Amino acid sequence: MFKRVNAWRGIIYVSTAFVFLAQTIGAALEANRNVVDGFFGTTSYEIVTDEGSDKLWSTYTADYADTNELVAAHQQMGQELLEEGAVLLKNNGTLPLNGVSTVTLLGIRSSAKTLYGATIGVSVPAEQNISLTTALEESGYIVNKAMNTVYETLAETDAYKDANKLSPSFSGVIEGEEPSYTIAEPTIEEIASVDDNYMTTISEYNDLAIVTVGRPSSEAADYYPGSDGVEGEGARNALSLSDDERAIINFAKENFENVVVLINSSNTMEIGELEEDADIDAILWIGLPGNYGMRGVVSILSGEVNPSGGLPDLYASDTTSSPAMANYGVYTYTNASEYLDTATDRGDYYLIEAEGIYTGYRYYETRYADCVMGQGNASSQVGCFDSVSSWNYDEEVVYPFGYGLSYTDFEYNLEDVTVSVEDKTITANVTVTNTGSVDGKAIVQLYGQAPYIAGGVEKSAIQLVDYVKTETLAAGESVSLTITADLENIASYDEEDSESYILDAGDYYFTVASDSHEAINNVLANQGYTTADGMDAEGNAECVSVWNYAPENGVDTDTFKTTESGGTVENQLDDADYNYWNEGTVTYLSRSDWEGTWPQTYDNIEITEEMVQYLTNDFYEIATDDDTSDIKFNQNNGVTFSNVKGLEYDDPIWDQLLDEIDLQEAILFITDGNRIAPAMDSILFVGGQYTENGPNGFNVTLSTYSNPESPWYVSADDPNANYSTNDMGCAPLVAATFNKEFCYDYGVLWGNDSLYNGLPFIWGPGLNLHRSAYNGRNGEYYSEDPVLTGTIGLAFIQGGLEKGLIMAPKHLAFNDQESNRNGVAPYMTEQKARELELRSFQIAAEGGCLGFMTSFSRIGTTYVGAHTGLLTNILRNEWGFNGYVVSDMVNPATYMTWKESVIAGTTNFDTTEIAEEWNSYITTDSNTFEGDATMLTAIKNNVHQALYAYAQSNAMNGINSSSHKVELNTWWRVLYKTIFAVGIVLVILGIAGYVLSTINLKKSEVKRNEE
Amino acid sequence: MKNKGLYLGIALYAFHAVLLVAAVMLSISSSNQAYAVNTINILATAGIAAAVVDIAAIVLFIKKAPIIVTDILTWVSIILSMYLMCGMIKGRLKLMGYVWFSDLESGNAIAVGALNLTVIAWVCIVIGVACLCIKGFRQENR
Repeated sequence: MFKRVNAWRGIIYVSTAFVFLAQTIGAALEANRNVVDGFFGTTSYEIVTDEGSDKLWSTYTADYADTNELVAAHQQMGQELLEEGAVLLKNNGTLPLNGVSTVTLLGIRSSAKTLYGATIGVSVPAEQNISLTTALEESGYIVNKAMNTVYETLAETDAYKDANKLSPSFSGVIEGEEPSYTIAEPTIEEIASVDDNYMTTISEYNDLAIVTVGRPSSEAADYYPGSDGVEGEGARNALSLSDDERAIINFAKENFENVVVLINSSNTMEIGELEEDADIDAILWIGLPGNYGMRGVVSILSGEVNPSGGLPDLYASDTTSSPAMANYGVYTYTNASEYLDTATDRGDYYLIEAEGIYTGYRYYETRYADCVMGQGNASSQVGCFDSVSSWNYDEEVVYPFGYGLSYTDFEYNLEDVTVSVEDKTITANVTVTNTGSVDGKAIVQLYGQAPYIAGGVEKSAIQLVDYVKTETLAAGESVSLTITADLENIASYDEEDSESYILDAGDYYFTVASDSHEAINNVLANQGYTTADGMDAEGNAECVSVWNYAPENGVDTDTFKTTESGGTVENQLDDADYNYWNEGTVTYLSRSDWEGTWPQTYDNIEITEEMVQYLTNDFYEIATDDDTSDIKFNQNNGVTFSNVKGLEYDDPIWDQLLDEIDLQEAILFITDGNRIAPAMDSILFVGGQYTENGPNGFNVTLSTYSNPESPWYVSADDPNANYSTNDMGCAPLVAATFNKEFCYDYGVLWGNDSLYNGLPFIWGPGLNLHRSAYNGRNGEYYSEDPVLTGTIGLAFIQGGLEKGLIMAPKHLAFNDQESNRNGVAPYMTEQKARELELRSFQIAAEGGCLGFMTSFSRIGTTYVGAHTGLLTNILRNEWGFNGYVVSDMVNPATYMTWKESVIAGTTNFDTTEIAEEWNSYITTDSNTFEGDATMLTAIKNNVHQALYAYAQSNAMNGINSSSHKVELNTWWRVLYKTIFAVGIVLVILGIAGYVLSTINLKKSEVKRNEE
Repeated sequence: MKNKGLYLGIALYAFHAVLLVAAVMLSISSSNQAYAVNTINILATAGIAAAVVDIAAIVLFIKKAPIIVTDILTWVSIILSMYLMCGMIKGRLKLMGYVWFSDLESGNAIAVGALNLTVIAWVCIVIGVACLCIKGFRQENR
């Protein structure tokens, strides 16, 4: 017989289970409520500003009347980016196209598997892509669609469906065998297997063959050198061509009169064989073109636009020939297991950057110069890859840095160069003349050479100090330009003696050139060298200006010792050099002896006792008995966050505001600093969704987070509600424009996106350098050169600021590989760190950037976000930066240690899952820190820094002293709360029913027994 | 009839205990593979505790202890089981997003494998809790 007590018992059990589930699902929904709101089209909270008060929407305003205009601007900018940035590498006169009407696209990347963006990181929305076929047809060309269909059919097969992926592992953990990249290019036999009539269609569309080869880019993935890193017959490296790719190019050569090859890659590739192949008429590098770039490609092919891009990276004949490649990949300390817990410490992996400052063109051009000058054993066999006998530039390099052809010719005349040590400037007057017959734009690249003293501070034989792109010059037209460069761009960092940037006594050579190789040849020519000395071309000695500098004592150590912001420069990254921990271990590459210092592979490095506390991420002890009575919280000064709108960082109002903040709210604000900023009721800071990831633009649709209160609200009914603005080409393409004005305008467009999206911050652009060709994330970073990277980035950031968009460039710093990126420890000299990677960030910081995202990696033994030397002493004290510094994603990354990072100056953590230890800081009424004056001060400073960025942003649009956040009841919120409440009620009822039924049952049994 | 009820009750407790132990092992294995769940120790303890409570309930069930005692133990076992399940759901939210709703980890066999282990663990817990709930509705005389 079914008894009531059984029913009540069952109800208790089932209801208990539902209470748990409702609570958990509810917590999950709340934790991701902006995503949930976006998915369901709900609104779970709103910012309420009292009626009748001063709602200011005029601080930052959009340039477009509606989203149609915004989208049109994106399409135009996307096309112009290609027109400005695509690099014409080779042209035998076939381009611009003449008399061509029919086109066949060959290679799977020409149609079905074109790489528009990256796999992860700088991906672009596929539904917005304008294909090469569409772009050609829009311009009146007739495209062989049958061949496209063949490739589309093949792209669906297992062999090709993942052709655009670079084996990402988001945790970035590589243990054991490194993954290889599969070069996926269909063979002629496979084409025939789909369409045995393919030759007929080709004969009908045979004016031009466009063959595209490419390599994907992806966050959380890398390429690996050598045959183990690639699946593809005939490819010596993942970035080399495979036999299948050669076969389709040969097929094009055999069957078409005109053959153009497109290089669809943000990583440099080995394409020397294409350059040398006389049957290939033209090569155009298009990077990852974004949604609308293909229209720009067609503009260039047709001649509607004259190409004007310059390569942001040198193209080596063998991509592994850079000395950086001697130490690239996965290296584990030999004694890691003695000291470290791999899963939590994340300290097992390291990278010895023994190449020093000689990365990219700095290596190839310097070695070339030393070969010509006969110094430093430069011509030795060491480091020879494609050189037949001794090291030979022309056999090792295909295209130099800055290289790019045009449909016209330009002549550069360097009128004069003036150096002002007092103003720290280099001023060059240049005349550029279009000597050809076609209108076009020229890039004027100003290079410099500082005097090198063997055994002294290492110096590149040539380095970019600044550049400018002309407006369109009509055929025969001349223009006079003035370039004013930062003198620090030619200075060298002396970590041994002066601990600052120095200018050695001697001759400084400046030249303008079309690329890095022409620049060094000009300088060598001016120094009296000729082809008889081994130069591969006679340089233009006239196009060089020499500045002789004769400071006292033979070296100027004062000029850069004090920064513009008043900070004093001294070594902060001694611990970044492995020799600091274990003296004499690493030999860094020096041009004084290329042969004797060529990097060995450091694959047997040990952890020393002194390194352990840093590798285990615990090196700050919380004080318990400091006098903290002067550090105020929860005061009542009558100030709210809206009162600091637009104020200077050191305005006294800030102190009043910061004293009002509740410590618990401040800790939560720092800790839970992902895309949603927690509100701080104590100062009426409303928080909310404020940022998105986006080195390539906001990767959400326009309506997702758009603010209903704003004049630029994009409702779900808007015709462009589902439009995503992360639609542009890759970062190297932006750098290849060498056009700061264009990049400023591009930044302004992002600023407009920010207003429509309702997101005042964005995590981007990427300012790391291309240390090697093999970083899977090169597509997010501009270039191998810090000056190009920094100045392009700064122009872009300043454009965004015009609209109140706070860009937080990533990843400060040293994201030199994605392999084991969570905690990998790059070791390097401070000179390398400062002159290369940090230089680009310095340019951005000193130019007014208000945010940065730190990297996943360490610098030396210490997680970058916890490195006080980097984040406080360099970033804030030397560079004068004030603003927001957010960690990369914590999920939870235990090595991203909270207390050490807060002390160092990390203002917020990109947290999605707060670690237990961190929770203890949030939930213990702050007693943890009540006796630690340093920590409490750091917390206040960090909140100040982050809020300062907010106060300058378009988040302040529409905010006044009455603004506050109100939670709203969405259907999903009502649902889980109802289930939870009903479950609780049923559990209580069940218990009551169970007890009563049991009592009744007992009574019945007693009664029955009595009867 | 009474023996049948006794055997069924013991079987359901034992089945739940075995499923819980399996779920704990799968959860630990999943956490060790990728994206460690930072509360795994306490969750595993809860799961093992649930299995121990089941065993205690079996013993008391056989010894014909008052029904209210075994009922309370069963309820505690359900609470511990759900604690394990919900803890693993919270600990796997990001990974679910990465694997099921994005490209971030969908191609990473280790991450996918870790999530699959968690899913199997959830299935074990759901079946186990369902057994105890069924037992609750069908409490037999001993």
